Amino acid sequence: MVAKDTKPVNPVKEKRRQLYNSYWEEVRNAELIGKKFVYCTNATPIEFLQAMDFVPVFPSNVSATCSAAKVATEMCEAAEAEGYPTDLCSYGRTQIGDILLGNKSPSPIGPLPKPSLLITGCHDHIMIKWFEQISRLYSAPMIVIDVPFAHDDISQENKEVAHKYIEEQVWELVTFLQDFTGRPFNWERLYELIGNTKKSYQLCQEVLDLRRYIPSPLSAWDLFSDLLFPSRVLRGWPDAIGFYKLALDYYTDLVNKGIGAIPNEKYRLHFDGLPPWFRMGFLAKNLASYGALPLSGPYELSLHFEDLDPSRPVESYAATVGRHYNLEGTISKIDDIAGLVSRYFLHGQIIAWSRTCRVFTIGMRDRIEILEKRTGIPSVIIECDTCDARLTSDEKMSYAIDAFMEVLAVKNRRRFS
Amino acid sequence: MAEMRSGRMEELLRNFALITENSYQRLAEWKDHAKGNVIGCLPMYVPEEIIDAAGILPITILVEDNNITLADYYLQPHLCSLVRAKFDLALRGKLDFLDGIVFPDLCDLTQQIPDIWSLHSSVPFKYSLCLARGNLKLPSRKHYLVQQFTHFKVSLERHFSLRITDERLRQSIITYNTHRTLLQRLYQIRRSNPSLFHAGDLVMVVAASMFMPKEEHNKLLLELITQAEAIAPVTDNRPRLVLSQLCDRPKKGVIDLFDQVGAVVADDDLFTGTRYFFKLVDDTLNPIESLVDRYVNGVPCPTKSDSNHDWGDFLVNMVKNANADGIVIFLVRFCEPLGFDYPYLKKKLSEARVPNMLLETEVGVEGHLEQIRTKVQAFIEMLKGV
Repeated sequence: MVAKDTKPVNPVKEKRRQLYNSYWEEVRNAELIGKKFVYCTNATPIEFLQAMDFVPVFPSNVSATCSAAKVATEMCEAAEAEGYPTDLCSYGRTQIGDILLGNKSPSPIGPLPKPSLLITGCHDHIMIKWFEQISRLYSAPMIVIDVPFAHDDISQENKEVAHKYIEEQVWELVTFLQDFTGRPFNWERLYELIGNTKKSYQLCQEVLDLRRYIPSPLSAWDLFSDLLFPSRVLRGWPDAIGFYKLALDYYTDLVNKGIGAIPNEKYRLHFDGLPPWFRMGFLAKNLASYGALPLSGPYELSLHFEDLDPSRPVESYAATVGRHYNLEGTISKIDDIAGLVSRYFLHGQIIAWSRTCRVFTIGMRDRIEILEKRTGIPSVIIECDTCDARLTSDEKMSYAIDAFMEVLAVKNRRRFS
Repeated sequence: MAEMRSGRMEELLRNFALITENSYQRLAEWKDHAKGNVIGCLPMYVPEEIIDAAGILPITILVEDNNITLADYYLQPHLCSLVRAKFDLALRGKLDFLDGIVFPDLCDLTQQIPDIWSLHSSVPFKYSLCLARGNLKLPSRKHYLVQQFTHFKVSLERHFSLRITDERLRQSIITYNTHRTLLQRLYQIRRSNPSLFHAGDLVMVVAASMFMPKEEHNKLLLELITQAEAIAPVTDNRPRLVLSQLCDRPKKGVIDLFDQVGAVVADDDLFTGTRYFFKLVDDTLNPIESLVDRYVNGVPCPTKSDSNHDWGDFLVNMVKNANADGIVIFLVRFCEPLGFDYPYLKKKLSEARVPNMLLETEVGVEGHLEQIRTKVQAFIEMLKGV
C-alpha cells in the first residue's frame, strides 16, 4: 500500500473532544447536585465507585492537560514554594500546585471539585504519596489498593498470595463503600459497568491492532491524545463503546485506502516512558520529517481489561489490577516491548527519560541492551520531563533524534536500497 | 564535654566506630573464620529475627564509601544515591561474600532494584520482600504480611536446607528485644546527658550492630551503658537537636558538623538510630504475627503511607520528650517518600513551634559540604538567639 499525502478530517479527534467535554460537564453538573467525587488513578477499581454513584476524577489528567497547555511549570513552582523539592514527580507537583494556587491557577480545566474520597492503586509509589498530600489538604480519606510487585523470579505460590491479597482488598473496598454511603452495594450496576468497560477495551484493542498495517493508520500520538482516554478514563461509559466503533470504522477506512498516519512512513517506533506533553507537536514533527512514526507506548501495556468478567467482578478485578506494566520485573517489561516489536514490525525505540518520572525509567539501560540483543532494534534516550519545561531542551531532544535517525538509516539501509 | 568519658568508654566507642569501617571486608574475613552464612538486608523493615533463627548472620547493607563508579551506567543519576551506592558495592564485588540478599520494597526504586541487581551480580539467595502499605490496620494487610513473612521463612528453609522452629524464632526475638532494650537505655542516657556524646557516636554504635551478631553487640553495649551511667549529667547550654534520616546513616562529614558548630544531639529519628530499635516484638504470641505487628504498629514512616501513625506527631513528641531546641531532617536527594511528606512535616513542626531545618545530601557529591556547614551554622545561631 502507498501512503497518500492527504487525509480526511479525523472524526475520532472530534468525538474524543466531545466525550472529554461531556465528561467534564458531567463532573460540573454532579458538583451542582451534590454528588460525591472520588480521586482515582487508572489502576483504581473505578466501576466499584461508579456503582455507588461516586464521580471519578483523575488528577493525573489535570497534570497532563496543564502540561499540554504549557502552564504546568508555573504550577510546579507553586508547589516548590510550599516546600516540595524540585526533583519530585512533576505530575504531582503540577496538580498539588493547582490546588495551592486555587482561583489563581492557570489550569484550563478550572478548579477540580473537592474529593470525598481518594483511591489509588500501587502501580506507582509516587501516586500514593501524591494522593496522601491531597488527602491531607482536603481531609478526605484515602484508600490504597496495594498491588505487590511481580518480580521476574516470582513463584506461583507468591503470585497466588498476591492475587488473594488484592481480592481481599477489593472486598474491603465494597464494605467501606457500603459503610461510607450507608447503602447496600449495587451489584447489578457494577455488572453493567464492568461489561461496558470490557466491551470498550476490546474494541480499543481492535483499533490498536490496525497498527499491523503498513503504513499504520494511527500513531502513538493518537493513542496518547485520543484513543486511550475513553478506555482508561471513561470506563463504564456506554459512549466509550460508540467512540471505539467510530474509531474502528475510521481507521479501517484509512487502511483500505492505504493512508498512513504520516505521509512517508519509514521507521516504526515504540515510545517508552512518559512524553513531554508540552512538546508533543515538536517531537511529532521532528520525527515525521525523517519518516519516523512512534506507534506504541507504555500506556497500552499498563492495564489489560480482557480478563474482566462481570459475573466474577471482585476476582477478575483482582486479576486485572495485578497485571500492571509498572509492577513487572525488568525481563517481563522487555518481553512486553519485544511483543510489540514483533506484532507491529518496529524498527526502534525512543525512551523519554523524564527527569522526574522515575517509575518508567528505572532499568532503562538494561531494557535497551537486552531488547536490542533479543530483537535487534536500537533505542535512543531523549532527556526531558513530562510537565516541567525547565528540565526539557528542544536542542537536546533534536540532537538525540538526529543521531538516532542516522543509526536507523544505517541499520535499515538494505531495506531501502 | 565528651572529655568526661572514661578511657574504657572511649575504647568501646572507638571499637564500635572501627566495626563500621571496612565492614564488608571484615565480615568476609569473619565468615571465612566462623564458617557461617551471612545475609545482607537492604533497609528497612526486614524481619532479621527470621534470618537469625536460621543460624545465619543478618547484616544491613549500608553505604560504605562515597563512590559510585559502576552503578551509574545502569541506574540514572536522578535516582536515590543510597541505592545506587549499594548497587555499586555489589558491582565492585564488595558484597560477593554474601550468601543472600533481602530486598524490601519501600519506594519505586527499591521495588525494581532486585531484578536489575540480579542481572549484573549473582546472589545465591535473593528474596524480594513485599511490604504492605496504606491502612495497615486493615485485615488484608495483616493476612498478606503474615503470608509474606512465612514465605520468606520457608524460602530460607528451602534454600539453606534447614528448619526454623517457632522456638528458635522466639529465641531470636528475645535476643533482638534485649538489643532494642539496651539501645533504648543508651538513648535514655543521651537524652539526660547529651554532652557525653559526640553527634556521630550513637550512629556508630547502632550501625555497628548491623554488622555483627546481636549477642556480641549486646555485651559491648551493656559495658558501654555501665560506663555511661556512671557519669553524672552536666549542665550544657549548647542547643539540643534531634536528627532524622531514612534508609541509611547520615554522612560522617555532615554529622560531625554539629560538634564543630557547637550543638549536641539529644535524640534521633535515624534509621541507624531510634528507627532501628523502636518497639519490641511481643515474644509471647505467634512469632510471625508478632513480627508483622512490629511493622504494622511500629515507627511511622513515609514509605508506609499509613495515616494511623502520624510521622509529624511522632517527631514533635520526640523533640518535646528530648527537651530539644530543634530538629534537622536529612533529605537524601531524589527521595520521593520524604520529598512528598516534607511540606506536611514542616507544617506540623512549625505549628508545634519546633525550629526545623532540611538538609539535602547525596552520596558521591562532596562539593556541597561547605554550603551545608553554612546552613547548619545559621540554624544553630538562630537557636542560640545570636
